[in-house]
Amino acid sequence: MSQKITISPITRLEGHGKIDILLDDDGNVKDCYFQVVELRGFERFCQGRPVEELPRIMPKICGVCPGAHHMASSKAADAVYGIIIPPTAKKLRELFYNAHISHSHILHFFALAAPDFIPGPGADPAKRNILGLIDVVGKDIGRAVIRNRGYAQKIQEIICGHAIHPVGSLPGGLSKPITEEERVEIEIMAGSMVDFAQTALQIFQDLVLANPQYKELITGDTYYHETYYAGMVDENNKVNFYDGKIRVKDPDGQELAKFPVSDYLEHIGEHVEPWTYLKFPFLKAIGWKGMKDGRDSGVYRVNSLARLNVSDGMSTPLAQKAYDDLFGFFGCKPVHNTLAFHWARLVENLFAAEEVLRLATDPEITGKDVRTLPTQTPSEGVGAVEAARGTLYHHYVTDSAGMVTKVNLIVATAQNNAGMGMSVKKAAEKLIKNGAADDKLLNMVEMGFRAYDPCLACATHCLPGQSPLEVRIFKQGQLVRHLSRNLD
Amino acid sequence: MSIKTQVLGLGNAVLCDDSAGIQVLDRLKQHALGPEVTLTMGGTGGLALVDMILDCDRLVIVDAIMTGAEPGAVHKLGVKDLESAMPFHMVSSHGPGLLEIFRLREALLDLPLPREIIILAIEAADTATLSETCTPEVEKAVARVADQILNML
Repeated sequence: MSQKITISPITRLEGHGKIDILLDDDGNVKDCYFQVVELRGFERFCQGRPVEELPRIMPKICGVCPGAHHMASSKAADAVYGIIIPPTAKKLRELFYNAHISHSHILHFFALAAPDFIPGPGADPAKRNILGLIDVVGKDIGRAVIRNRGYAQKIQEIICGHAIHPVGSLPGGLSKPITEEERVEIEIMAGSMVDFAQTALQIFQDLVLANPQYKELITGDTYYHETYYAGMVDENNKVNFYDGKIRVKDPDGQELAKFPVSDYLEHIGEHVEPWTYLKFPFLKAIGWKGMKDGRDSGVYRVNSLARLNVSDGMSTPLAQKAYDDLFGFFGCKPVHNTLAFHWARLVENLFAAEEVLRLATDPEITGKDVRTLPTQTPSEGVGAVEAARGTLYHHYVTDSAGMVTKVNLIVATAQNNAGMGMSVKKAAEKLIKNGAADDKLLNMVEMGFRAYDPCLACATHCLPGQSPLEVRIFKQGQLVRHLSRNLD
Repeated sequence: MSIKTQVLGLGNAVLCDDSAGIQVLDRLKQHALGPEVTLTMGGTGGLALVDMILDCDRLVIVDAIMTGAEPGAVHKLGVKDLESAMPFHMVSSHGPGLLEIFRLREALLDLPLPREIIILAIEAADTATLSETCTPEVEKAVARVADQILNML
C-alpha cells in the first residue's frame, strides 16, 4: 500500500491550502497534489450589482492584492462602458499601481521569502522569520523595509483613499485628482523607494548569491522547470504591470503568441481536476497534457520571472541594468530556475520604484481631468493587469442597465497552479527518500511554492493570523509520523 | 486622566463571519466616543498593522476566530494567549501575524506595547461564503461585543 504525506495549512480561510504527497511502497514520491478550498457563492455575490460597485468590492476578495483587483476591475468596467479614460487618470492609476507592486514585492521578499535564505532553510524555525532576518541584516535595514513598504502603501492611500481597501478608481477614471502638495509628498517618498530597491538587490547579492549553498539552490535542478511563460508587455515589449498585451514565450524563448487581453479566452483554456477546486489554466495552442514541463505541455507560468522572461527588457535605466545582471548571471534566457522568481521580484521592485518617481514628476499628473463619464450602453468587457503574482483577468457581462449578469476571473495563483504542483513534487522527490521526512524538508518543500508568492491564505484575517502546517506520513494506512507547525 | 484607547477591527468585510471585527467597528462608529478613542479599520492588514497600531494606553482588537467552540462565543484573549497558541514562526503564505507585528514594533521602532491589550475574538461559523452579513449567532455576538466595548470606554 502506498504512503501519504499531507502538508496542510489548514485553519486559514480562503486559503486552506494543503499539499498531499503520495509515496510508493518504497517510500519514494509517487505523486503530489496541491489543493485549495474555493470561496463559495462568488457568482451570486456579484450578480445583480451595478458594475461600478465591483472595483470597490473586488479588492476585498483578496486581502493581499487589493490594488491589483481594484485596477483590473476598474479596467474591466471601463471596457464594459467602452470608455477611454483621460491621460491624467491613466497616469494616476499607473502611479497607484506601481506603488502597489512595490509594496507587495517588498513584503514578499523580506517577510516571507528572505527568511528561507537569511538565516536559511535549516535554521531554527523560531528564527526563520522577519525578525531572524533583521538579526542578520541589522535594524537599520529592518526599519528601511518597514518605512519604504509604508511609503508604497501611503501612495496608494493618497490616490485611491485607502491602502488596503482602495475605492478611488471607478469606471471612466478616478474619483479625484491629486494636489501639488500630494505630488511633492509622493516624489519624496519615491526617491527613497528607488534607493531602497537598490539596497534590496545588493542584499540579495551579498547574502544570497554570494553564499555557495544558496547559489547552488537557486541555480541547481531541485526547483528547475522548462515551461512556457506569459506576461504583459508594452508597445516596446518591455515589462508593464498596468497595461499592454499578453506575450507568451516558449521554453526556448521564442514568441508563441501576443494578444490583447480581451482575446484571453482564445488563448487560455482551463483544465479541471476532480481533486481540486482550483482550475489549471493552460495554453490552448499546445493543449493540456497533465502537470508536465517541456514544450509539448500547455503548462505556462506567470509572476515576476515570467514577466522578465517574456519581455525584451525594462523601460527604466536602473531596472534595465538589474535585468541584465540577472540574465547575465544565468547566461541564458528564459531562466527556468524557480527560486529566481525572488530575484526577479527585486528587479521589478526597482522598476516599480523608478516608475513611481517618473510618474510623480510627470507634468500631467496633477491635471484635474481624471474621469470620463460613461455614456455608452454597457455590455461586456475584459480588464487585466499584472498582479504582483502574475496576470489577473477580470471579465464582466452586464445587462443594458449596467447590472452584472456574469463574472469570470482568472487569478495569477491559478495560472501557476500546475507550476507549483510540479515544483513541490520535484522538491519532494529529491528530499523524501524511503519515507524519511524532517522539519527542514517541510521548509524546502514550502520553498517550492513560496517562490510563486501564491494567494492561499489571503482573503481573511481570522485569528491567530498564521497558517498552520501539517505533514502526515502514512504507511500502509497507518499514521507513522506527524510533523506540524502552528497546530495545537 | 483619560485613557487613550484604540479599537482595531480586523477581518474581511465581504466574507460572512470573518467580517465580525469590521461590523463591531461599524456599530461603534455610530456613537460619539470622544477624542481619546480611535477606531481603526485594520481589515486584512498584515504588515500594514505595524503602522496602523497607535501609541496608546489600551488596544482593543476585535477579530473572528475558529477554535471549534459554539458560533458566536466570545473569547477574551491577551498577548500571552497568542504566544501560547503558536510557536513564533512565520508560515503564513502572506503576512505576519499579530504577535510578529507587536515584536516588529518593539524591535524596530522602539514602540512599547500598549499597557493593556485586549483581544475580543468572536467564534465564526462560516468564513468561506461571500456575504456582507454574518450568520445569526455571530450577528448577535457582534452586538454584544460592541456593547462590551462601549461599557469599557
